[in-house]
Amino acid sequence: MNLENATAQMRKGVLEFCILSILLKGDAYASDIIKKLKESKLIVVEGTLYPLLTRQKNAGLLSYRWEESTQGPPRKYYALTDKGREFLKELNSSWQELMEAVNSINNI
Amino acid sequence: MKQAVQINIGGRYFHIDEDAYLLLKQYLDALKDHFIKDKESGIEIIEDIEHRMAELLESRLSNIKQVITLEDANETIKILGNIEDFEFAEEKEESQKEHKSTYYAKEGRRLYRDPDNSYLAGVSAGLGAYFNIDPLWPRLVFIALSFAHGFGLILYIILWIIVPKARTTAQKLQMKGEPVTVQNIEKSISDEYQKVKTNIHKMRKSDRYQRTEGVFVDILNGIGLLLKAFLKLIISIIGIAFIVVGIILIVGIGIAFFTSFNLFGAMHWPSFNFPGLSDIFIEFNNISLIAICIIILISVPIISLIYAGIKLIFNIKSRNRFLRATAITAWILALIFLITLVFVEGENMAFEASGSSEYSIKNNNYSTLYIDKKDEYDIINSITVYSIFDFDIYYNRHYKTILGKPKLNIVKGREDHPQLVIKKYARNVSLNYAGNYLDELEYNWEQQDSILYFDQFFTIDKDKKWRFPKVELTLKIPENTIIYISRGMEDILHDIDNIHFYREDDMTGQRWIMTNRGLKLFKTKITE
Repeated sequence: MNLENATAQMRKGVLEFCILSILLKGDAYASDIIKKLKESKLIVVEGTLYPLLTRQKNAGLLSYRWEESTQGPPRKYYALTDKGREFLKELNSSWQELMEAVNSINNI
Repeated sequence: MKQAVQINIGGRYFHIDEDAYLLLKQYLDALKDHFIKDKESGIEIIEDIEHRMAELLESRLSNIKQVITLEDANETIKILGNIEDFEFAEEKEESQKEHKSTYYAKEGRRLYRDPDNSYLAGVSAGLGAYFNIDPLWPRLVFIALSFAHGFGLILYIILWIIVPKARTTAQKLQMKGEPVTVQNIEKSISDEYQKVKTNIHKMRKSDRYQRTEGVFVDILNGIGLLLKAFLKLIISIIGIAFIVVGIILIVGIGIAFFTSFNLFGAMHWPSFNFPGLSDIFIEFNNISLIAICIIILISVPIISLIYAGIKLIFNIKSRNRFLRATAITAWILALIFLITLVFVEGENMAFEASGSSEYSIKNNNYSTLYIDKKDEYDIINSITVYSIFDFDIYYNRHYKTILGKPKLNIVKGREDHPQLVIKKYARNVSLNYAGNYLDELEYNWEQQDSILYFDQFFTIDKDKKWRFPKVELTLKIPENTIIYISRGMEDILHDIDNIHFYREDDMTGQRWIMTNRGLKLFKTKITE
């Protein structure tokens, strides 16, 4: 068990959580999501996002549609599905529980 | 000035420097290779990444900068990340299946055909890379296995068909078990680039050198280069000749082994494990040992020849002493072994015994004595013939019996009635055994009225091997006896003295009379 591995595991769970959270605020296309994740320093390289998006989509958490763009070819816009919303809700509550647990342990 | 190409990424159109294009292509190939594992979502991921790549590339272009450079490509790849980073994102699935524990586990080695070190299709080179051994070993194994009913050849062709060729740099890295990262891809590209660069550099240098030293040196250098090229050509031709001869020998010997191709003189080799041979000659199941020895004796020089040819053509300087020593040792051992085996087998034929018996033939005052053969063609039908020295061996596969041809001579006898002398010979490990063997030699003949019927074959006891058995028949007839030799007897007639010096074939179907000097054609009218 090394640090890099441990944080990588954590980071990925959080990353999936955050993708869903970003989409809760509104539909977005991949570059928007990347921008927000990069701002919050959750991802270093962009390629990481695509397998995650595809998997979430395959799991029925996301859907996408093609939208015309003023610059260049059409873009893929991602949106949360009902199942995704449900899933995010559960993630949220377990995230809260985890936060409280970690905080309470750290504060002892 | 640089050459640029036009490409389409994610539905957008770009002008791009060639080196940048190569890098992006290798990168996308590596990704494709990586994600193709789960088909549909894999393609989708690639498409998404290409889209993003196009966006990123476009953001680097402006009115004054129209072409994607190597730097742009590098930056873009840095932003997108390499395969290790992608693995991080996929890891959840993998760890659920308990495939990999950490995301920086090395890419597993994968079996590819290696076109760079290939000799035929790169199967052996790929296997060599996969097992981290010299590709010569898989090659040798294939060749050796090819002698086992062509198994190696078939295996090779199957592998040729099912194992993919390593086309991209990523695949070549996977073949060698190196992790596919952008750094590695770049490294192997820049390796090749460096090679080309130094070559060009060298050329320029020599150009300048020639110019400064004047025309004379130019000419000398030109002649030198020509000579060098010529020499190289000759060496290559010799190398190709070596390889071609080697392959022809292998194919030829292969054919000889698998079919009953008549390679070793009159001796037939019906198939690789010589069932006839082992049934007829050799005891103690030594046959497979002998076969292995023969294969080593034949194949080592041929393979060496091919190897030498390859070395000549590709100008390989390396001398693998271990390999050479192994080959020579194997060859000498095989030779010693074979000689020993032959001696062991030869022991079985060390002593020759003979025995003869005499039979009187009732002469009831027939005017003519007929000699005829017994028809036994039903036995002959299933026979394979071997000829060794002046022995003809017949083998009946159906009854598993060994047959030999007797030899019949007709001479003048001293008695007043005809006599038949049957003399048998055989060899064996001792005189005693040879004597026993003689008793088992069976030859039949019979007399019916004036006709003598001779079997066309003598037989050897079922469980016995062939030990140079001979049956010599001598028909002694008094002077002035008239005999008629029927057609079909020419097979067993042997060296019969006759005053016309007829050959055996011409003596049948004729009436002969015994004279002082041998048989003579009997010319009086045939009254039958």
